Amino acid sequence: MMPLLTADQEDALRELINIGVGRAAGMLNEMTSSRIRLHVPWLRVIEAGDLGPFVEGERAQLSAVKMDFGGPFSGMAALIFPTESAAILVSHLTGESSDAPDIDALRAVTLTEIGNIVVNCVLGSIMNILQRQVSYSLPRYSEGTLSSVICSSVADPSDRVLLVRTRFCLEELQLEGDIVLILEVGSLDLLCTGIESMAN
Amino acid sequence: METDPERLKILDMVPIGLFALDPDLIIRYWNRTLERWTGLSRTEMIGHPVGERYPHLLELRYAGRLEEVFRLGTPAVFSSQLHPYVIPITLPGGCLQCQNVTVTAIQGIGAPQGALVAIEDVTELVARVASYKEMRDRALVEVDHRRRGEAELRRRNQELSVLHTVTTIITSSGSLCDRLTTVLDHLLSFLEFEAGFVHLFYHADGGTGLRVQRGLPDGVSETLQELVSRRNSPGGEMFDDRVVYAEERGDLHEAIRQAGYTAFARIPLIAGETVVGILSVMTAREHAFDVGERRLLGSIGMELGAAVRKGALEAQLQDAYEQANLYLDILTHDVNNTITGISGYAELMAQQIVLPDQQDSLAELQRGIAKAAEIIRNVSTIRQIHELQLALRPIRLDDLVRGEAAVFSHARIVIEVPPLEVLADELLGEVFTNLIGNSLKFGGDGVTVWVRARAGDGVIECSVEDDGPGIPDREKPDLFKRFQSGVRDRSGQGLGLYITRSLIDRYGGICRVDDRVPGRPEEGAAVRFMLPQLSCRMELTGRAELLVQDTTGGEEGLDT
Repeated sequence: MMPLLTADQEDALRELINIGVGRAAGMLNEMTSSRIRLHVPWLRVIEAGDLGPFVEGERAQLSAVKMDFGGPFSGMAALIFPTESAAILVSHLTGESSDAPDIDALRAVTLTEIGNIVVNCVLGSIMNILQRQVSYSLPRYSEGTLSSVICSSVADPSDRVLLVRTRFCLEELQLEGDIVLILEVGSLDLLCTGIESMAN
Repeated sequence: METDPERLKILDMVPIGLFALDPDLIIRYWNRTLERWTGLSRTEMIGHPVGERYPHLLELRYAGRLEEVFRLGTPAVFSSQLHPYVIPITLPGGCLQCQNVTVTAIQGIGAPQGALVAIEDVTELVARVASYKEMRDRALVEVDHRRRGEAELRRRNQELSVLHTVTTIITSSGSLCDRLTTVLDHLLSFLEFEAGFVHLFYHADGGTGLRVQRGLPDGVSETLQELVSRRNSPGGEMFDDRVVYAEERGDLHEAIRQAGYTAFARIPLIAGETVVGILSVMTAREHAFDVGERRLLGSIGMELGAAVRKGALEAQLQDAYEQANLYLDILTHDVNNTITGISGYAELMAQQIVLPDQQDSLAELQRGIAKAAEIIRNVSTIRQIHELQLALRPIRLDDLVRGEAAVFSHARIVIEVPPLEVLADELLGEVFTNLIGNSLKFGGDGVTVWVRARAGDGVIECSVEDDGPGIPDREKPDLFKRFQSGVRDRSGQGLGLYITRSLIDRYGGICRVDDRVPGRPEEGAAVRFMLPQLSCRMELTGRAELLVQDTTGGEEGLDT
């Protein structure tokens, strides 16, 4: 299958998103007493139907913070963790002593804030190059399998999905989460145009 | 941005604190809920920079997020766990309200023209979640305690099971060497260790250094044996009498370390206060001996020590038994031969002596010889009773009685025994020899002895009676007590009734001392006993019963 982005476009996009997650890490550090670093080891543009093997892996139970955006650049953005990793992340950031693996109502809001910060920063980086006005829904938390947390937002399995693997490094702890951008028709082209104009 | 209070009146009705900011962070709206929560009226708040009253909102952690809202139009969420508050609100109890806050952009033309801040009071939710967490943590602790308790119980059961198995093995029959080997195998299997040995300092067979081993390479085995032999000398401390658990390579003796073992235990085998040997187990994998294993090994050390001591005592007992048998052989063979010789010479002398005084002395001599012969015969019979396990077989009672009576050639013996068969062995004749002999001995000159038998209900009822002076009622209960516990007179004489009772017990019968004429002791004694009839043998219960008629005519049971 032909890649949906050229290598140059992919590099430029990774740089753009790295700036976003770098800002997100700065904000999280400012808000908490943690020393958190965020990396983007890789990103891919794939079809929504191919998302499963990348995100789900062996982990059936996922926690996701999702935010819809609409306008000329539209779709859905989500930060997804295995629920167990999400619980560990929240415990570390809040300094909770409990190592319970579940996400209660309070932890869900905390995770929503973390997802909100990360997704905002990534979308902010993208919007900087697109120069378009976009409206956003409030972020919301959901838990379940990949199909229940993401696939309801996918109109067509051939929808383009920008998948960004993010690595959260908290001192000795390393957790991986995925930023998933499901782009509606035309939005990927808009993104490619924006990347090209940034490069020029 | 719409700020008309009339048009925004509906926002006063919601139980959520709401206020609006313009891009310069000036407060443009302040709803009734916030007025109620803060005690600050909208008149006091609207038109003032939010930083005047709440300077913390100018910090980067808040201002940076608000700036994004105004620049990009993205929403912002402030959770209660990461932010103690956005607007500090003191509750009636003095605590601060816990808040979840969302900030959404109020879109204008081009860029957002304002931001609406919605504050949700989640104090109650925080309290409930905290309470739930506390309850859950408590439950988890209880579950953990229970799990640990169950694990401990399982481990103790396992230990007990191993100890029980070891005890069963060590107390079973078989050679000590075989038993120790089986125990060692079982222990190594339980611990999942590869090698071990048991070394005894005192061996039950009289030698020293019995050794059983499993899994030790040849070179290591010899080195360890040498170290054990030098245990009380310099350099042999590794195998002295102490308990040792070595769990680090640095703690191990070089010989063991070089063989690749990383954990080692040495347990003394203790009998009383004496160390009779050592048990050692070792493994090449990392292992820390926990409390349960140490307890188990200690118990096994005690069990094996006791077993070794018991083995030694049993060997001593066997030695003593063999010595006693040797003496008995001398008595029953050599002394008996000597008595026979003396008896022959006495017979010769009787033919040569004519003077009355000499005849009296000779008669005394012959009685002495007879007593000595009786002692030898009694001891020999008792030995046979204890040692020989002869199979019971049919015996013609009338033939047997006649044969025994013939020994007393000068006595008056009336035999009234029909042709009957009983289940007995070759020692049955001793019963009649002893009883007839007693009657003749104690019946006086001219005594008549009757030997009678008749078939009863599944048994043969026998009696040996005489018309001698009889046995007073007060003496009857003690007649069978010779050789019993507490009776100090243990000479070889007067054992006839004891032997009689022992034999009748052996055949599953019962016997008693009686009067020949019931109620008239002075008219002679009778010993009556029952033997199992061939066609209907009494069950052997292993417990015999003696029946002795008392002076009132009742019966008294004596435990044997």
